[in-house]
Amino acid sequence: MADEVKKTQVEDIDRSFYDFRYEVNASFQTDAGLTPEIVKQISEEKNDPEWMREFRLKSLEIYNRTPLPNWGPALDGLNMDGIVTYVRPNTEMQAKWADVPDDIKNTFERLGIPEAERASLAGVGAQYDSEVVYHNVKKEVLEQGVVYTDLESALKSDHAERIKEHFMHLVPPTDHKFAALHGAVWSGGSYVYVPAGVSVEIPLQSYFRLNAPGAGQFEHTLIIVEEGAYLHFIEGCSAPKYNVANLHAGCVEIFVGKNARVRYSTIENWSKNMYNLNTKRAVCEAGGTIEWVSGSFGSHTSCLYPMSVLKGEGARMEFTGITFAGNGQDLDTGAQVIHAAPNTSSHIVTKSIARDGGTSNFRSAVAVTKDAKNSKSAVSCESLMLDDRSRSDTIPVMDIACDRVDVGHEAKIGRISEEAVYYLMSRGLSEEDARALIVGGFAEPIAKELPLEYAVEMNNLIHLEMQGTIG
Amino acid sequence: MTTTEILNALPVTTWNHLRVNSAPKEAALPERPETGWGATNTAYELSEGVRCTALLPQECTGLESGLGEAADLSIHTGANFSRFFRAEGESSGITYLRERLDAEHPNAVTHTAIHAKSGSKSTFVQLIQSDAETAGISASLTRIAAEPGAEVTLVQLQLLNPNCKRYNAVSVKAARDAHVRIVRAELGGSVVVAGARALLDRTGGAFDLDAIYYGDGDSILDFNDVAVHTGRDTHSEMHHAGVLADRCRKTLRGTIDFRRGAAHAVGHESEDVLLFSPEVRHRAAPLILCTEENVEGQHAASAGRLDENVLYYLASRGLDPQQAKRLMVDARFAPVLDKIPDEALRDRTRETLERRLEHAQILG
Repeated sequence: MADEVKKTQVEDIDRSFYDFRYEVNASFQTDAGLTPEIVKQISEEKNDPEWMREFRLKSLEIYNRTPLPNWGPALDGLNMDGIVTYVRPNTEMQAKWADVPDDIKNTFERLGIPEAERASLAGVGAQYDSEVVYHNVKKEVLEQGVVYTDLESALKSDHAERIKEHFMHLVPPTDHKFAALHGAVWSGGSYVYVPAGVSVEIPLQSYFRLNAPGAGQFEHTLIIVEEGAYLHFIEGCSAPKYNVANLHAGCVEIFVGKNARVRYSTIENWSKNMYNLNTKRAVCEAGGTIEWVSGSFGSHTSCLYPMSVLKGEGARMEFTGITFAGNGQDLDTGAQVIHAAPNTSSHIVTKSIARDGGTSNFRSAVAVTKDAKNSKSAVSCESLMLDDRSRSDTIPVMDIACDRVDVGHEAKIGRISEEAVYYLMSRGLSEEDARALIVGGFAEPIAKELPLEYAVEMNNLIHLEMQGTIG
Repeated sequence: MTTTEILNALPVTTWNHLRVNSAPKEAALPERPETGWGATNTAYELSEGVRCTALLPQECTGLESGLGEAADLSIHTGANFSRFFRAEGESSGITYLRERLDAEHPNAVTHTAIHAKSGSKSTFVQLIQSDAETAGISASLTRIAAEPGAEVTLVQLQLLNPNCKRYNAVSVKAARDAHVRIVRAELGGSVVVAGARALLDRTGGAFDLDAIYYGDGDSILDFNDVAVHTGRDTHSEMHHAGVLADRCRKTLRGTIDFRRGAAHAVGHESEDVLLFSPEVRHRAAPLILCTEENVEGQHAASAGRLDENVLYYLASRGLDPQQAKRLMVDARFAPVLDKIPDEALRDRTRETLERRLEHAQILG
């Protein structure tokens, strides 16, 4: 019977909102491809300290000898020789919005960044191609001793030593090929330092925008939150659509101090030519908490699995994620956690939706070391298939080397229940609305973790996805 | 046989450092000695409705086991004992296949095929035993093809001594409305590699796997069970329970693969493992792969020690800690032990298990 129900045709969503773009007006751009000369050039252009220049060159060596991963999504479409690693927009970093050049300003205005800043954020950083073009933090936050600036300025400030001690210590360039690439050509990104005991009540936000075609964005976000402090950091990403592959190989390192708490929210809406090979990692000291909230909607191919290292006793991680893959997209997302101390706990909840020939995979790794006595881990992932041309794989791994643990895992895959659609229709809803309501309900546990404006955006996105889908 | 083939490959690979993509090198299939595997101590006993065939039934070929094609081929070509069966009509009897490894017969490399004719009902028991010492090898390839409406139950009881190596490759194909059940107990051996792979490519085909395992000492247990759904209304149930002690290293891969066309398919998978030593290594990779919208797939896994609250409760009801522990361990294994159709064998399996648990000082 159910087979006679017509297949729903899910149209590609209207991304035109993000699809505006401007002529590339760069003051400096490296040649495509990657050579020691290019890396030296970037380093010189940025006026790197000597250790950073060496670090970049060493990373390049590692990059050259590291093979591509032999698992996960195909990366054949990515031609590294064709990717421009460094594009500097034709402007210096500004602290006043009015001073940002018009095309860049218009971009962010259209994305609603200054508006959000005025409304609900403690500070905003905006990166355009490879450089941070705007950074502003509320005075009250600065007075608490919070540092929020672009990483390159920070490297030249009195935080230089602290940065040297932390930079790519959590994600070493040897981690994988794209971490090595990042180490060699990283550019832009944010540095956040929250002193002990300080609670940043309103979120900080970074927004990344890639405008130049065939370019790579390699921003580095370094967050250090000292003992007992609290921070909510929001990251948003988008890019217009070009016909050549763009690459995003950013890196996020978060150091969560004793009894500190960090919430890191990401809404990723890159265009469909983007290879999003981002590496995110957090380490938690005793009693520290890391909370990840992650929404993946855009990009052509994503490999994104934030890792949490629960290093101190009683450290905690929570991961809440949603991935929505459509036509031509291969989104491989999930989370990793290493329980390395007693009484640590992790909780991973994800939802995947695949439609219109897209691939939405969940991949996770929960490792419990010998020392992690009395640790707890729970993983729950749910997938929703909206048609039979899409794909959704669930690939969780547990690796447990300790007997005093409690590890649970649940996975579910299914479709929209025809009975539920039928019921809602009998109560007067159109089929389209009924389906949108059900998908919205499926995503609800994730949406409620998002900052309000993002939750609204996600709901709109789901409604857009479901529009004109009945046929 | 070669030692280089990949065994128990995970159907979709993931991070290499997790070491779940295939069985570890130490678990490789041993190479066939130049002089061959020698004589075996094997016997079989037919029930009514089951007869031997001289040739490998065509229906049973072209299938792959969980261990992989290369391993299947090595066992097939190297076998020192092969028997092919055809089941017709309904039979309540049991066909027994027994093998025993001892000093004179240390290796049994067996190739078994079961062709269940349309509408037939049959039960097979494979009993794999050894003397107390011999470091033998038991490698078996069992291929089952069930025609429309056929029901086949295969019970595999492996009670080898802790020096043996065990390779258990099973391939299953279930035709329209056919139902294949595998009951698997892997309770001995220093290396145990097992993998059942079922192809459900016709409407209404069903596959059940109820498996238990026990590992202690420095043993390596490696499992790779796969249900591939391509037919409509197909159903798979794969449930694992195990106990790990000492420095045992175990990896379980369980995959439900829903492919296009498997509308209304249902697949359930679970694992419940008890850990009895801080030095065990428990790895699990429960996969659900899906390219069909209209399916229901579910996986649940849990790992840990005995629930202390439950033990405390049982103690409060008058059970001493040992009795309470025994009750909890028994409960894990009961779903499989209860499915052993022969009472004497059921008791022997239970005794073997208890002896091992006592030996590892889990029960005592």
